[in-house]
Amino acid sequence: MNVQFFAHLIDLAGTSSCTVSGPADVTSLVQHLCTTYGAQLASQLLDQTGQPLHEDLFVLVNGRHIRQLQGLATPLQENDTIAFVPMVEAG
Amino acid sequence: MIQPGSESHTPNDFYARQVILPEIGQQGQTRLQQSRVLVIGAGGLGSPILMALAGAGVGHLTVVDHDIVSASNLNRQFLYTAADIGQPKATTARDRLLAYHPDIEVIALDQTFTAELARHVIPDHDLVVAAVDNRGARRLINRACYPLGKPWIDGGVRGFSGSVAVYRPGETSCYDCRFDLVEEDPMASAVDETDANSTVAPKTPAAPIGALGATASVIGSLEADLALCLLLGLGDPLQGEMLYYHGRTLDFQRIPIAARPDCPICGPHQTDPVR
Repeated sequence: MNVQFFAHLIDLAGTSSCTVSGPADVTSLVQHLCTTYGAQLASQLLDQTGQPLHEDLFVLVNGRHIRQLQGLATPLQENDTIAFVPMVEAG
Repeated sequence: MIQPGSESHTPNDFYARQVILPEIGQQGQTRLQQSRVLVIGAGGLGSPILMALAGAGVGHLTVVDHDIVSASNLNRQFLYTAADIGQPKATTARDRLLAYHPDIEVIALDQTFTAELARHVIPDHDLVVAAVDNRGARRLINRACYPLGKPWIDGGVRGFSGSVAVYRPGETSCYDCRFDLVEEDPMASAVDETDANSTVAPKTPAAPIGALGATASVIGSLEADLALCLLLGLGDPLQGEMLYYHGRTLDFQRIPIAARPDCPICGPHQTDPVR
């Protein structure tokens, strides 16, 4: 599956996109990304209790909000595109 | 005649270099002169937005900002100088814009943008451009603009990154829908749309977020560019997509986001949450 990062997540992941195989759902993918890219990215993917998701982050699977799908349990296929998009709100 | 310095100029002299653009011409310039734009926020984003719209000859600008100029603003809010510290931003912005472009009209509102103010000022404008720093303000603007059929443009920055979006009632999904905020408690965004006096200022001041003048200028200029495209009838370059900018890689990323068919604000069964 194709994973895309936006805004400051690019700095924390060191890339704007990557290819991942294996995770069966969004929760598993977030855990995989936290392990792969480390604590700094994890701090922007997880909430204050260490659980997905950070309140300023939304996740799209093929352009659709996961809340409109099955949330963190949304199943993932190998040809899916998953976007991690932070809200950028300062003015 | 406008007489800055020892020379006399006509208003047309100010816009000579853009009137020769085939996309504008005299007809487009007249269209800009007859346009009315509400700019909410006169900070890091508001500065380049206001400068660009005034520079292009948008005939009427209304500027809303409750804040005063502080020293920490001056790394990015290029409308102001050190001599302006302590002065109200909206009034200072108006004076600076009129010094550059005395032929346009600028109204300054040194007050917080509330639901009540939204109801009063938005109907009198063709376009709203947001340059705010919190989610509550954006939700308030969104919920005011959609029932009125007024397009609005948003931008945001964080460090080297930023994003822009265009929201067009009847054409694109709205802010709450695009960020899937419809079910969220409005108070969680620090604004109560049912309270006419609710403010857009965060109830608990957040820790300062790093901001760069260069990045704010990029994003503010993109907002101004989008505004001019809409005002000139050149179309919406984003067509419902979000645009993200990353200043360390100079990447521009566009992302389409599916609308919620049941959105109460922009969906077919929209209500009027501000009224």
